[in-house]
Amino acid sequence: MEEQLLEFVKDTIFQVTGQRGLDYETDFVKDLGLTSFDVMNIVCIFEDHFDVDIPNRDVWKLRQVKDVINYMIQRGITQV
Amino acid sequence: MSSRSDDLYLVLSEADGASSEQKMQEAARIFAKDCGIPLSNVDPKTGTLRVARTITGKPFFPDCAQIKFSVSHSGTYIICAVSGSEVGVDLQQHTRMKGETEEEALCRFRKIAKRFFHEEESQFVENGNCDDFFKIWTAKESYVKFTGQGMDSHYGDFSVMPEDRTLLSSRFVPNRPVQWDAMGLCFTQMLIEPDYTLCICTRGKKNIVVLHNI
Repeated sequence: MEEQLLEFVKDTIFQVTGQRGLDYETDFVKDLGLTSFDVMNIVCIFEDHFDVDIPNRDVWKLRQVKDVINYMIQRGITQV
Repeated sequence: MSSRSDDLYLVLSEADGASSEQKMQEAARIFAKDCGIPLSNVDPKTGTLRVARTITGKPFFPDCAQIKFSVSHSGTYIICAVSGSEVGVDLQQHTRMKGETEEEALCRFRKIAKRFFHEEESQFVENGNCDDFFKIWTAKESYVKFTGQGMDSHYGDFSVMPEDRTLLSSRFVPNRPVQWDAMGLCFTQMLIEPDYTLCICTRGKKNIVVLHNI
């Protein structure tokens, strides 16, 4: 499941920013230079795809790829 | 150049490999020189002012309280706003995802607006076009950079809409600023190119001095 989610995160980042080459440890701001605008786009894609609400207070806690993957698993995502 | 510390310097540079912090340090040096602010606390090795961050992440010069700044980058540009009083600036390129049509982009922007904006702002985007989305987006971002609150759970609780909405619904012309008041602050907005919207949030109107490519 973790690997499937990683692939989904990779595809989403590419779709929004055109950037490739991320792994579990990649930091969205420090390594990829994502802006608030990128982050909001990504959040909307996740919410649509997985049919979940991600509260704003949680959004800014998700700093690295692994945080997103752990968060989605905690939210009960079992299928990509 | 004559200047006063209640002017606002807006420095627009192409992202030529220099970091936004380097651009901001240079902008601060020019502002300090023009305003006669002594920079006695610069790092002797680097010649730069020390930068610290508030608990919410807003950067500031702890050793030079007379200079306030805000930085934004988008696409190929970095913009630095420097002033003697608090300022927030945001620049956003009107980007689309690969292969996305204008209609699809607008649909995406409306979704973001509904999800993150105040109801009044979201309604404006719902009835508007892609450019209208970026007017609200940059105004909100400049506001949260001004206050230092960042994008928190209250992002949708405030509205940057002017009382006179026709100010925002008209088509903007590059480099011709539009100005309005909201929440006791002044918003100055302009297109710097057909696909880049810029917004500056200040307390009261400022005399804006624009510098290019430092």
